[in-house]
Amino acid sequence: MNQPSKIVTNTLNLIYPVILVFGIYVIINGHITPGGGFQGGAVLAGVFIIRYFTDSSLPFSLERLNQIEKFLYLLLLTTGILYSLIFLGNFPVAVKTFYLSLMNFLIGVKVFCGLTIIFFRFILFEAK
Amino acid sequence: MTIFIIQNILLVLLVIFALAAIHTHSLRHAVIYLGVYSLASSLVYLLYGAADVAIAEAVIGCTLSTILFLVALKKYQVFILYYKIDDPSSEAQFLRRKLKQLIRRFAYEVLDFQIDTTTTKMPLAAIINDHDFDIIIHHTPTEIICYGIKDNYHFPDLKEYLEKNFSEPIRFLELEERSQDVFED
Repeated sequence: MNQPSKIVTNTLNLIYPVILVFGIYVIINGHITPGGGFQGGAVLAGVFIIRYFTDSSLPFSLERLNQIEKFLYLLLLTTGILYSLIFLGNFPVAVKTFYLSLMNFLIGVKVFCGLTIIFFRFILFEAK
Repeated sequence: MTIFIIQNILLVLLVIFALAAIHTHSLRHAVIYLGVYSLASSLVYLLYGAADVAIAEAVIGCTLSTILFLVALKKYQVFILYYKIDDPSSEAQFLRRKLKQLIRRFAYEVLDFQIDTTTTKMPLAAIINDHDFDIIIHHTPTEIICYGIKDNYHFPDLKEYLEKNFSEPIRFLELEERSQDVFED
């Protein structure tokens, strides 16, 4: 890949933190405002996908990301099953908030891992 | 009232960008038009009160899929041409230059691709079996043979283009694509 222009690099360096904070905001406030785990995770993944245009090196190991994603998937399933078994459908309000925030967080990180893996795999390994 | 007007403008923009994406000749332009289309449609979702869907559409339609399409185009926009010439006479060299120029022009203007040309003396079977190619041109002392892959949908276009623009007769042969199951590591 040829050298990215200075304008693009500097602008993106300014924008990263904003997008990161926005993604985290969307995840954390998912249960009361629009957005949620999926949207926030996709925004977070977008940060690293845009980052590819200024610096084409890999920021983390894909293998580890893959393991984290699988672990989160397991955690997601067990949380849902456990909550519904313990409360049997009668959620108090405080528990509901906690449950939704937790689920949003798990889904957010999982979507972030998944989309980042898809993108970097596509870029680095799927040659003609 | 203003929201109503903005909504209508956005809906018209949606139609315009969808049509532009279909009717443009360059694939890269089509991808960018689709990105703008997604952005407009996410604004429409927002005005309809579906902020949740709007965020998802903006992130996925506008950023992720646009970048993925652009990367895919970058990976597949190379047109690989092998040129095998058996006839060392100057007339054949002249023809070779002319033919190469035509194919290069075809790749740039019709397909919007980069072209990667290799002039080789390898035997034909070796190229066909061991190398990735889109077109092989075999220039023997008696005739010019052009080999292409059967499923490559640019090959009929190239055939038509060369028949229209090149003075000498060319024989076109279609090859079956070999299986791509072999994984590279």
